[in-house]
Amino acid sequence: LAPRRFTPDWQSLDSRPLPSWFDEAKFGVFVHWGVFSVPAWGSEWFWWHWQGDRMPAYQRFMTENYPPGFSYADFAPQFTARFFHPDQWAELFQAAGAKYVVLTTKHHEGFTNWPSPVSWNWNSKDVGPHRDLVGELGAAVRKRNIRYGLYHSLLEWFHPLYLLDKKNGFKTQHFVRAKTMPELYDLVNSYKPDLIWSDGEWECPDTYWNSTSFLAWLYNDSPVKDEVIVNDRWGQNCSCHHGGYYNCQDKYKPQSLPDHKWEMCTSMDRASWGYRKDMTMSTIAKENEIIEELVQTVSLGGNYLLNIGPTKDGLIVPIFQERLLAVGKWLQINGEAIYASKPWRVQSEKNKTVVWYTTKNATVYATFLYWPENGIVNLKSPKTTSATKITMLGLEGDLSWTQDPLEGVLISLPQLPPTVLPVEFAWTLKLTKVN
Amino acid sequence: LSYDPTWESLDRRPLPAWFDQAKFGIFIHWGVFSVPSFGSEWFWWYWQKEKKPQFVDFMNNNYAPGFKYEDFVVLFTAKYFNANQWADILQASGAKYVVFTSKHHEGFTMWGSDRSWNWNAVDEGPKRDIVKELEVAVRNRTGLHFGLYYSLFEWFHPLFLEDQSSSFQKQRFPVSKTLPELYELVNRYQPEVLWSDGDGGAPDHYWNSTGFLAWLYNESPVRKTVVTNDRWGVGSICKHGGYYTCSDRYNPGYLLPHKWENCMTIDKFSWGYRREAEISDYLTIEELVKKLVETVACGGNLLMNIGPTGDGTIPVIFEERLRQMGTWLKVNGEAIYETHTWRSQNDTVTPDVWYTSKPEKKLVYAIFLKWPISGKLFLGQPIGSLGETEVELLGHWQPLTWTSSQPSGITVELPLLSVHQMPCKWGWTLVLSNVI
Repeated sequence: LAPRRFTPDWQSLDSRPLPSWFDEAKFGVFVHWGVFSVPAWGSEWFWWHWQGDRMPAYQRFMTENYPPGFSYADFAPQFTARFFHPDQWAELFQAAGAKYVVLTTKHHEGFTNWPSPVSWNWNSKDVGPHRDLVGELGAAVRKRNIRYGLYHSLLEWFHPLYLLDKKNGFKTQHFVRAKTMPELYDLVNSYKPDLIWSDGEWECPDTYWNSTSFLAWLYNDSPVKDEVIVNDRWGQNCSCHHGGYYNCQDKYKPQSLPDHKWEMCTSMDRASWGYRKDMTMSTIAKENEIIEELVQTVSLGGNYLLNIGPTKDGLIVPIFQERLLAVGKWLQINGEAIYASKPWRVQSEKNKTVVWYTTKNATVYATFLYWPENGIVNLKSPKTTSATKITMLGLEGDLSWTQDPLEGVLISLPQLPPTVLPVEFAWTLKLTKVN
Repeated sequence: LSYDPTWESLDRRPLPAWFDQAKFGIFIHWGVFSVPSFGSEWFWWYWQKEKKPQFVDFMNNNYAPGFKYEDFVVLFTAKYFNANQWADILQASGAKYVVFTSKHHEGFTMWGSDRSWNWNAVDEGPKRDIVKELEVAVRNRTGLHFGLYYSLFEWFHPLFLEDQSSSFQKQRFPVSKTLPELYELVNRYQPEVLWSDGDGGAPDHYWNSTGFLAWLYNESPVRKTVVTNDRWGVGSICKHGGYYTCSDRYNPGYLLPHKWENCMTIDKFSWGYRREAEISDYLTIEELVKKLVETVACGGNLLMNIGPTGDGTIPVIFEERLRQMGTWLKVNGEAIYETHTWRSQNDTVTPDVWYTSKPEKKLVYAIFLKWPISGKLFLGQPIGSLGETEVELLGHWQPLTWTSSQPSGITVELPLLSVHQMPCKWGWTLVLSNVI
């Protein structure tokens, strides 16, 4: 049987089944790293806010801290990555329980984190790190069986060819032909990504970007055609409509089960994707918030992509390390309910506590967020049988339960001091032989 | 009362009461070393004097040949330094005093010392009187006592090197640099802690320490409130001074007859900010609470150090630890602040139980760092009296059931609490009234 060929139209492309690894992975780490990590102030949209929409705060920042005539490109030599040790990063991501990592190969500033031949003197090999950052990180994560995804911005805010096409109402495609498409093909052929995370699409229709042609090649003939995953940002109005899985918008958080595979991308520093030197604790997501979002996202069929921003010299600051390791510690115990799980017929309940359900191989997992004061969890949705067994992940022994006279099941939690519970927040009940 | 410039006289001065009552302070190491922020705050010494390979390589790999340590000062911008924000974080930590490095061994003064022309924070780098900004913010926004660290010697100062080569027969450096700066610091900023360091291998008479301290205790504007440590010359550490530091991270685990302080670091390996530090290099909040409790139970103060960055931020990991300490002290501070040591410092039967007391209220505090699985805590030291002794858990406010054991000790039945009912994490306090 010849493999089916996809034609360069959304009807065909959207019919491709998603390779199974992605849904099974559930949790990934996003890495925003680039020249914006040098000023490391405001956000990764620094250049645009400074010289695009000319925000006063950014202009003041530049006049106060840099000599007149200093250009954004002058930041590049300071992007040293001198402490970048990809194996250390990969070890951290593995300890965090991440199954895939997505690195910004090029953000909207156009600086490529690999030696792109169409980005001469504005890439990580020619300037700054003098290293192939994309290649080095890829080798390190793959060594640990972590899938490697590449973020790539279609547009570049200030590229003269893009500005020319823009001036022409995107009727010309100089930028796409000279820059975007050559880069995408190069990334795929050189690094064989498991995932392509497209962004920067919003000003132009997908026809300007030649998205469907690229995706047809990607699915039919590329070296990663069998495993590759893509998101949904391939042109104006594509988001949440076309692509392999849906991001919809940053920090997308549906309240009910979508009918399509999706991913919530969010940042550990709530105020920025890129590293900010002046960040404070008030904007850093707390451990419990992260775990709650992860559980909710997975229960609703999504993947959770948690972002960190390394520093210009290649460090992941300790607070980000600490949060990632906290997630990893939680997943070490409760990962059984997360990895390769599926949404259950009911996703959530809320009474004395909040419960999120997942299922795997006919087993149901109920993760409850707050320990009930009376030590009894009331689950309304599972229908018990005489063969039902209930345990808590991380603890030995079966838990006692009775049928609630009204509906569902009453589960007696172990009477243990909180300090010896398997985790500090969000415990998982495993229910076998329930309907 | 007046003090002579002799240790015999000076050491007789009673320590101002606030210091022992305070129990917990924050140390801040910040200076030009926060710019390379690599390895240690001893960067300059390790690079240029000891020529340690990792420091030499760091410079060779990252800076132009001929780059000098002094060239770092341009990069010491402190551009994000916001003294009010720092003060708020210090307040949130539950600390009662702060000690700031006015000058470390590199000689760079964090105020506009006229004895340090073009090597001070007003002329170079921040171009601000950092000490003044921090002093004003701390005093206006917090209840903390403001203290200053000051290094007597400077590694590479030509006058010090000259005196050193005369085996400290000459005293040009202290006369023209150290002492004028010390007097200026006291008169201008009125620190209530003067944390001396860096004897440089010289005896206290070279530094004229006793002469300075006599003035400090007799005539200075802070004579009633100022507290000093013990690093005033070779051999003075742990012997002479207001309170003893003995060594960095000193934590004897037993009662000392003299007031002492455990100065220690959240980053296990450095006082100054270190970019390359991993999360495993930072003490966890569990470890920090333990150090505080152990220290206070043995009569010490804990001085916990953070290192801000060259551009003036307190790294979030340090902010988190400070806020966590504050969270713990909000519940358990009663067992820490203004307490005294008890007849036993720790329990000899149950590990990780430390005692403090308030004798005037007939209270003993048993701080335990591990919640027993059985829900019963055995305290081997206290002797309970039926009808008189009461036991409570701080933050819980219900009397707890206890029973006597022979020949001494009591067993306390801890309340059955769920995760959210626990008054705190990382360590808990039993209040025992009327025990002996």
